[in-house]
Amino acid sequence: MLFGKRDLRESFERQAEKVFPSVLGTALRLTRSREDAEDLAQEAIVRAYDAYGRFDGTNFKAWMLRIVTNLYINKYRQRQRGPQLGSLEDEGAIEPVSAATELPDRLLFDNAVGSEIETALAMVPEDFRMAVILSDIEGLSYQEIADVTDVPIGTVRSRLARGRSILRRALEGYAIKEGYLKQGADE
Amino acid sequence: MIDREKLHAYVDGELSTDEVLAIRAQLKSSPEEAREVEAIQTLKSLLKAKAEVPEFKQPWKDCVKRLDELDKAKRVESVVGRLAPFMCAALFVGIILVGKFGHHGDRGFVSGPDVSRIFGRLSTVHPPQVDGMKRERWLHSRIVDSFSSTPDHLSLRAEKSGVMQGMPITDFSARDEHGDLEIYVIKQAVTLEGTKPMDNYPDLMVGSFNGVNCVVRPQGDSTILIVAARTYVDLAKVAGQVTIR
Repeated sequence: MLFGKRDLRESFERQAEKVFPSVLGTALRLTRSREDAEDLAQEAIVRAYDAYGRFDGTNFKAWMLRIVTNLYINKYRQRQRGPQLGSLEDEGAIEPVSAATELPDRLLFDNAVGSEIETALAMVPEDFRMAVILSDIEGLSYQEIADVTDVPIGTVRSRLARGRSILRRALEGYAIKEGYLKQGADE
Repeated sequence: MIDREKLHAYVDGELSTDEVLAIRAQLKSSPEEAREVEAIQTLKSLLKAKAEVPEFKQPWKDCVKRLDELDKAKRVESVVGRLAPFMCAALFVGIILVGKFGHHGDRGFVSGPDVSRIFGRLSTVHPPQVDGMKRERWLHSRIVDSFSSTPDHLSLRAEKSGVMQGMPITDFSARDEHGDLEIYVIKQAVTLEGTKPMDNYPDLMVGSFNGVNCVVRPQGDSTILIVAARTYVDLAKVAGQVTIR
């Protein structure tokens, strides 16, 4: 990309501002700490600006999210607590998403609010959560997720299936609490 | 039965046209898998619609501020980087000019270390042996030959000579009633580094030479340097009594 310094800054700022909510949101869902997320997002923006001259110009959002996830993996992951990557060999790793109840999920979870979705998402082990965030919230393709997380597409597929399954189980907790689903209905 | 991962890929639109057609056909005959597809679609749309968008305006402002600082730092680096060769060149030219024209008027300039180094290399002048002249008489004659006016009580103990930066120089080791003193006569008008004008004696410069007080007195095309462990005023009195012949 050929830019003057001023043009480069303007071009970067214009694109970065558009994707910044995604950058910060992803950082927040990975770190689960507002303070860490803001630090991570800011560092990602600075790194991206430094490297903007080498950006190939194809998909800015995927490029930014790659920087965020790499930074998170290299700097923040060690400090994080909570569910970590489970084994795909675990029982029910690729279990069906749908519950045993006859009530459709769209009715079960229709009244769930954002914070409940976020709480359920936070219960998903990190690598699965990352795949779900990038696919279902940020709308990245499998290939883009593979590039961002630096894993093969087959692993992306596995992580998505597993992550969604765990997320649904976590959301069932909400459905039970709200009385949409009886305890043990899906067992 | 359809592979579970394939069902997710189907919902995500990641399958080829042939694979999509095959799965659609299978879903028609499998209500359970059709319900699974619906569940995946529901979860996806739920996340897309209800995932919270964090407050990002202030963090974005912080980022812009950080980028401003980064740009400013880069600009400074760039200016310094661009000017560095010129600054180096200017410094180099300055050094050359000071070296070439850093004289004090028409007078030669001798640095302190040069004085110490060169004065330490002076050779002793020995009395000629041809006429059997005694050393004391010869030394007395040297002082009479060298100075047109000297204090009567000044006696010469030794004489050394040499050349400093092309200037002939003679060192008279003398003694008067107050003790020993060195009188250097340089056959050129020079300014010695580290000397300054003496109060109330406009024609004299004072300083120290190897930690010992000295006065410098220009006289015509020559310079007299008198060094002794005395006050400047005492040295100035001696300087006033010594005139080079």
